Amino acid sequence: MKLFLRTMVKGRRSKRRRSPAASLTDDLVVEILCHLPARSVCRFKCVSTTWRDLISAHNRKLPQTLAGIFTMHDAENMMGSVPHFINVLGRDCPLVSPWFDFLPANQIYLLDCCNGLVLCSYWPTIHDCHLFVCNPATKKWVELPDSNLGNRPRGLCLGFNPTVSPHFYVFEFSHDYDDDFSLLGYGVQVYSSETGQWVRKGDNGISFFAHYYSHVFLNNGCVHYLTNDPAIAVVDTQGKACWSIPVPDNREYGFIQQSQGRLYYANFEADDEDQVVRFVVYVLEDYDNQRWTLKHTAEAFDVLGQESHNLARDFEWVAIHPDCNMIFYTVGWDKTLMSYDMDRRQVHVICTLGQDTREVYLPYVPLFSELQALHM
Amino acid sequence: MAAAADSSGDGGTSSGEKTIVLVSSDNSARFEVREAAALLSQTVRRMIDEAGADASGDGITLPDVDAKTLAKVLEYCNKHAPASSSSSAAEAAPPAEGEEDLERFDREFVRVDMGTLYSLVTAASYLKIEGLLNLTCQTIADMIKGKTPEQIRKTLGITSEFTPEEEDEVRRENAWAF
Repeated sequence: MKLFLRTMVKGRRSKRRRSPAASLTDDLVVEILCHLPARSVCRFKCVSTTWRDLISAHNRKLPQTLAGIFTMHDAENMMGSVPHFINVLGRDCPLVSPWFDFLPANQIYLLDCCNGLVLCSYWPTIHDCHLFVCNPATKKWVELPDSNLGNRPRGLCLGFNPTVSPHFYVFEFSHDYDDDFSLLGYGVQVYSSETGQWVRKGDNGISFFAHYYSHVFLNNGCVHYLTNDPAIAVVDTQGKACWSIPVPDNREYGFIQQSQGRLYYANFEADDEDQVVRFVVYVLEDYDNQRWTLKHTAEAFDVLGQESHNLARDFEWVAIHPDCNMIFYTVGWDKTLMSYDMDRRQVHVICTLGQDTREVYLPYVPLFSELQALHM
Repeated sequence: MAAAADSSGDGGTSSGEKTIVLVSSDNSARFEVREAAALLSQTVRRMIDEAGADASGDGITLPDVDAKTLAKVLEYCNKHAPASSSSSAAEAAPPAEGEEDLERFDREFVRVDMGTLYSLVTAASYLKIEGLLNLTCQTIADMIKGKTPEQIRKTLGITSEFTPEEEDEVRRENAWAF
């Protein structure tokens, strides 16, 4: 009797409890992964071979992260330029065709890239500018109506936030002159894919010149760009100047980008002899009160790998990773693309872009969903 | 004398609204719910369409949902059901409750043990209830998003199955994400 009881108890104790999570089917795992931030999805490729393969197979459904950077290079005949794509992720990243041959244009200029959409221009003649917004992942595109600026110089940027609206905006900044060619001011027109029209707002309150290379379309639906005040000017989708955010270090030639939902600012600090000594990164943690938080400092040497770099000539900002504390930049006359991981304080060499690379770098996060606004 | 679990399946509530009877997998429980609530499930909707007008009236048996889970699922459906009971309006009509009220309900609704949560997400998937599937998936996602792969394996009872070389490679390629 006793033996029998002992066996019974032993049996119950040794019975393994089935993990309730084992009931999760592959479909459900994918469903759950869709609700995670992109960084978590990438990390979870290391959970098991099954998860790695599921993530790979369903990549298009899952949240995306930085896949690579579009660059522009001088064409061989020195007339115009050619786009390239640098893959910054691992091997299994889907490489996007840089050729944009799905557009009705034989030579395009890449202008801006925002949340998977790319703004580019095509000039069949110097008077005739065609603007396209396209999605390289789906090869869908739309041509914008003429903004009537002729061949006047302009600064263009693209605003798109699919989590808020399926519509995109294109901002076109220009100088306004009167009939006597005196400078009247700075104008902006905004194209909305919802209305299909350009709208120019008179009395827009814009009184600053834009450094077109450093701008961000933030989650709050406004384009932010560096001016030579120096400050960060903010313009909304109505084309109206909202406010100006002071830069944290009051120095010029900084760089702004959105990362992890916040506005980041990077720059170098110099010592009394004007030698570059330090690399600094600030985050606008408190947007409403315009309060910057110092996020990271490093010796310029550790980031640039060479002392007393001639920053004006041998350095270019490229991008800050949208999902982690990593910054991309080029050094040297032949433009070696580097990354600096702020958390690990590690520099990596990615590749050499070549001295024929123009100072246009578009960090690209793929968008695989269809957009009504791109109907072609 | 239309009793609650009436055989016709066309039983009505006192307001005359159409109801549907849903039966759990082990046949141990029958639930009479408003049609608008039941139709939040695309699976139930399809079963009714397939059964046709002459449904046996024994209620619709859901072979993959046990009584405890079904009761909880119907708690969600009753709360989120549209005010109108007409089936065509059910797709487009907003729920009867206010948005803030629903958000509060949803937050409380998912404060359950892990076993119940997994049963709910599985049921929501089988029954094709979009709102409940999103809610439960987001809840599980929020629980795991900051974890390391080792912690995920432990929480969900998964074995990695990587060879050391494979694991090295995938870790290296995704080093930025750690």
